[in-house]
Amino acid sequence: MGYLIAIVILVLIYIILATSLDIVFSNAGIFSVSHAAFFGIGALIYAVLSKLGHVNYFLIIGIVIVVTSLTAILIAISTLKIKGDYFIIASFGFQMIAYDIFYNWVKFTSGASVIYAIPRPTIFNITFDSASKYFILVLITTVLCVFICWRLSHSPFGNLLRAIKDDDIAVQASGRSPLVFKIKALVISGILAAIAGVLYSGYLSIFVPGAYDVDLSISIVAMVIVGGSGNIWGASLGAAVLVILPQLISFLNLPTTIIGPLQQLFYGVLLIVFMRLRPEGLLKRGKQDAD
Amino acid sequence: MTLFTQLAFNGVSTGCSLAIIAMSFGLIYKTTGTFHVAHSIVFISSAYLAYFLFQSIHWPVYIIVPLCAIWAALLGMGIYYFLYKPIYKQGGSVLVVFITSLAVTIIGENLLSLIFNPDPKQIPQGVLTNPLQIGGFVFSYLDIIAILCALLVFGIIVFYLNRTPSGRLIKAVASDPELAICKGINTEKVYLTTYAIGSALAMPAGILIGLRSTITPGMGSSINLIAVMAVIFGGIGNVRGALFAALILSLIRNISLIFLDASWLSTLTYGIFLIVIMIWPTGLFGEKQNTRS
Repeated sequence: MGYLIAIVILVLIYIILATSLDIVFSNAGIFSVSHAAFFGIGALIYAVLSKLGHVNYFLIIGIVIVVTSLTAILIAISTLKIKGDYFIIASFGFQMIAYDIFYNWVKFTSGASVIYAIPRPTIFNITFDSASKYFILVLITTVLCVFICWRLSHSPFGNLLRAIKDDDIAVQASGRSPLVFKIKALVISGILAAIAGVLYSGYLSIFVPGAYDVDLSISIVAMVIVGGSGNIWGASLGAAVLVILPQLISFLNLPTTIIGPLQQLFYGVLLIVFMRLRPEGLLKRGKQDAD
Repeated sequence: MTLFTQLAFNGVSTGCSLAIIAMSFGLIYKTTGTFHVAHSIVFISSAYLAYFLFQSIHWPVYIIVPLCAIWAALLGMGIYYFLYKPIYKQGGSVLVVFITSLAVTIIGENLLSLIFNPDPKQIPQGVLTNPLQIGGFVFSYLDIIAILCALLVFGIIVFYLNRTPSGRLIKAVASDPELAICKGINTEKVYLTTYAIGSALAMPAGILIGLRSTITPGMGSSINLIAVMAVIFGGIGNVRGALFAALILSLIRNISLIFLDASWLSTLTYGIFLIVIMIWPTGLFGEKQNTRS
């Protein structure tokens, strides 16, 4: 039962990550490989602030939102004019820089390479200390975040983003700035990812800089593509499939030094199989995207 | 001053393996338009093959190196033929190929750690690291070999592309695939040749890294990423540009160690990348932007 809850919490957190990446990815057409950086910012800020003692949870969330927005604006302004494959490398770059900052921050502040014993959050005098209580917190947040993503992609804002993706010159001609809307999309998606990060480090009660690296960014992108981009259900399904299926390997009766690589191996094979059989994603695009 | 020159020299000689990877990646990227991330697994697996053959079977070098080249070429061709080609045939997007390429990298890295275990390995160096001293300048045979390898790879690519019939076909397909098809060029065959040659030429880089320091299954992708930056700096399709850009990048990375902690190296590298790409979007030595995606 405990194992099951752990997996479900993990899946829910990844659902937030995948659906929020999908805002920039399939609506705005920005192929960002730095989503784990935002996730890590949220996780690090929660880890640092909650260790100070009784800092209000909503204050922490507020600080996370401000910091992520500024970071997202910085990233957007410096890279969004770069096109195509170059942008992939540039966003890879931000991911690497974020990792360096996480690593050095943790090393300078705590002297160790990880932050231990991060307390669970307390909201309105309820401490979310047990796994089932925490599950409820994660569930509520996930539903909220996914709802925001859904509303966004079905709003005029979402339509405009898709218009920018299809033809940004036409959007410019009609008097809107594509750059401003892309920045807004990146900020919103970054904030949601950072909130997922707050949940994640509160749940694990440990912050390891290496957990927020390029590999995680890539697997979030993979979740969106496997599930089917342009569709919150697709992104959610992708997250669930790619978190749960590799876990099946851990039921094999093998030593742990073999289980780890084997899980990764299975994950890679899964990606190739999905890309071969369903290059469009498990769930295809929603109706609103059909030409 | 001596520290500076020594670091600069180190920069050049470690930069040679980076340059080899950059030039071979650039050849594949320019010709096929595929963002071949799995290139890292090609040169790292050849380094592991070399390690295995040196360490366990003690075969002589003149057999091991060609064997590794054959392995790299076959692996590169296999990845294209069995994974990329069917996706392009289905009309899959560049992203699908990119994810597949990443998946190949993940599979390769984990297969290597299952076979060889993830601990760092070093290819036995023998006499290669004996220090040579000329005018207060300390270096080893390995440094000379590295520089020669980079020049050799550069020479082979330039000679091949400009002086041989099949190299000219590669240039033709790279500049205009549709026109090449109209002229009756078998583009599939050209792509296969490109993967074979690009992969085989990347092999020395893996072995050089294994000789100089150590190899781990996961190290290829970060090196590959720096090499890709060098390719972009140099201008895509510009072999000389890739060579110089890789050397300059490696020089900066090594010299900056005087005043910078090693844990900030990737911040420095990517910072430079972002600034350069914003000022010169087609690269330092690039003539015009590659518009194919």
